[in-house]
Amino acid sequence: MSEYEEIQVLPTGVYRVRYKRLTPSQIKSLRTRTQKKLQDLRRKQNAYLATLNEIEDEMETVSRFLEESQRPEIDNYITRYDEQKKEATERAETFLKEFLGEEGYETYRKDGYLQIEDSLGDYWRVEADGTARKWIDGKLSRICVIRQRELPLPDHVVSVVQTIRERPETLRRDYRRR
Amino acid sequence: MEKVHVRVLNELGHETLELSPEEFKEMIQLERGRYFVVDEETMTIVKKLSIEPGQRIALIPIARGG
Repeated sequence: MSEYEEIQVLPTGVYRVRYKRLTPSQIKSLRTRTQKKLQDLRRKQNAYLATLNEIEDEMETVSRFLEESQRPEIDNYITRYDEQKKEATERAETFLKEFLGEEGYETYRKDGYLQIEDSLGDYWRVEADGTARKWIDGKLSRICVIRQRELPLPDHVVSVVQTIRERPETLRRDYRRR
Repeated sequence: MEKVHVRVLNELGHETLELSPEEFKEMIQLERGRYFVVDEETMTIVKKLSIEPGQRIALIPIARGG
């Protein structure tokens, strides 16, 4: 008899247990398979350990970088930069007011946009966020305008308004976003 | 000699320069095509570069389309 079954009653429950007699060649084969499985698990463990080491190294580098970026002189630089930017925006806002005139500025602030007529007699709308739209076939179409890096928003608005008034041909319709 | 007061609208947030009329003309030659030259008094474009000493000028960047 190479197999038999029995019922076992254990504290954890009642089990049906099946026994199988192994031949010497099956035992050898089982040993080989078990050894291979153990090797695979060791390989897997090594791979995880290597990844873990890499992660630890990266964490150390990132932590050091974060620490360096929080140096007091860097904080001071950021504070100074933010103050300068705030002052620049205030100066630009004052200039925008002078540029548009008291009445134009009030209208712009109240409506949230400026209505501009260009040198070709076409009408445009410049929004408070600096985007430009042009009346084309009775509809406002978005015109692509590149905002110069770091230029305060009110200065960008001045630049867009002046360009529409003097050189509208340099601005073209943006076909991607309408 | 009285200088031309130049305000350049750039990322530095209104750089101000005091230039002689000659220096100003030289600057405009170099920056041609990048700025509108606007008289701050009238807020109109200065077409001819007959800049007077003491005049206040703003250089407004020309916007570019994408």
